[in-house]
Formats: sequence, C-alpha cells, structure tokens
Amino acid sequence: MEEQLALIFSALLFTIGVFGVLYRRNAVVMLMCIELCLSSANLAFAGFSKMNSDISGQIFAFFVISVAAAEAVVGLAIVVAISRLKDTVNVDETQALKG
Amino acid sequence: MCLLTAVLLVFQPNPVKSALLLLLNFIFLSVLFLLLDAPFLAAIQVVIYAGAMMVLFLFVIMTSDAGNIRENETLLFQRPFLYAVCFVLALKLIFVLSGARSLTSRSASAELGSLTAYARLLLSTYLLPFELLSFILLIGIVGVLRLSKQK
Repeated sequence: MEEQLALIFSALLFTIGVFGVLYRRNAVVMLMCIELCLSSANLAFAGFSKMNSDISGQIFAFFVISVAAAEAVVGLAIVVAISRLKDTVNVDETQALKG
Repeated sequence: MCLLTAVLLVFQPNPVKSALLLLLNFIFLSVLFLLLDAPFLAAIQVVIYAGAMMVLFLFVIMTSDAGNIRENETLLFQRPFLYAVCFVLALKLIFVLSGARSLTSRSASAELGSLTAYARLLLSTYLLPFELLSFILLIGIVGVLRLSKQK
C-alpha cells in the first residue's frame, strides 16, 4: 500500500516541479525545480522497486541521481557564464544564443 | 510535509530561501526512501543532493547576483494556462500511477534493502551503464572547466 502512496506522491511532486519550471523566471530556481522533477522520478523508481521486490529500480534511481548531478553542474556553469556576460539570470532577458 | 516544502520553494521569491527549502525537501525525500527499503538511495540522496549540490546552488546564487531579480509576467494568459496544464498533468499522472500493479507475485524479499545485492547487480548486469556514467561525469567536469575559463 505504501508503494501506491509513494507513486501518487511522486506524481504530485513531479507536477510541482513542472509548475515551478514554467512559473519562475529565475534560471537558478528553474534548475532547482528540474532537480525536484528528477527526485520525484527517483521516488517512483524506488516505489516500483518495492512493488516488484526487484532491486533494479534502485539502481536506475542511482543512475538518475548521477546524471542529475552532472546536469546541474553544467546548467549552473552556463548560468554563471550568462550572468557574467549579461549581468542577469532572468530567462526572459536572455534570448540570444550568441554572446 | 515534503509537498509543502516543494510548494513553498516554487512560490518563494528569494532564491536563497528556496534553496534551503529544497534542502529540507531532499531530506524528507530521503526519509521516504528509507520507508521504501532503499537505504543506499537515502544515503546518496543526502550526500549528493543535500550535501554537494546545495552548496553549489548556494554558491551560484551568492556569486551571480541571482538574489535580486525582478520577475514579472511577460506573456499574456501564460499563468492561467499554466494552472490548467498542471492540474490536468497531476490528474493524469495520478490516474496512471494509481493503476500500477505488481508484475510478480513474489512477497517482499529480505535482500531488497541489502547493499551487497545492490553492488553485485550494479557491477555485473549494469556494468556498462556504470562505466558510461563515469565517462559522463568526466565530460561534465571538462565542460564546466571550459565554460568557466572563458572570460
């Protein structure tokens, strides 16, 4: 029963993450909301792993965590580079791909 | 509790405070992982997310002057549309996930939470993804160095 609860919970958490990405304009907070989405996917993996009593789901969650770490690092580096160049982290004011 | 911190994170105008709420959220999530018989996931959730990644986020917020930007609505009708889309998404996800049933009829085995079984599977069946993961992390390091070098 607690697996079902974890799955529903992860659905709600994912929705909050998507909402945050679309609602906010601050690039750093948007990255945080993406982390929220990825964590909710991890929670769903752990729930399915418990539901099927198979440990593979937890290994997938481990991969997700590692890739999320790499993604956050690269994303934050891009944010820092943009804020050095344009002096803003508002995504509405950074519309050009070229510097 | 976890959902509450997530909602507060989204609506918190100060990025430093929302980073700290994210930290709290990750700690609550690690408790949920413990409840789901995943102690290793709970540990790396705390160490990697709450430890390493939050320091990085806070550093970036402090250094890049992200703390004081003005956020205003620029697109007409974006917000009401956003509420509708997220409501439908939540309903759909709950509908799909609450229909999930177990594929196997096995009862919960004792080795689900054991680190030995975890490591054995990770280094045998999933060895190739594991090695590719190290390569991805290496590429990430090189990319970040390249991005931060340019002035």
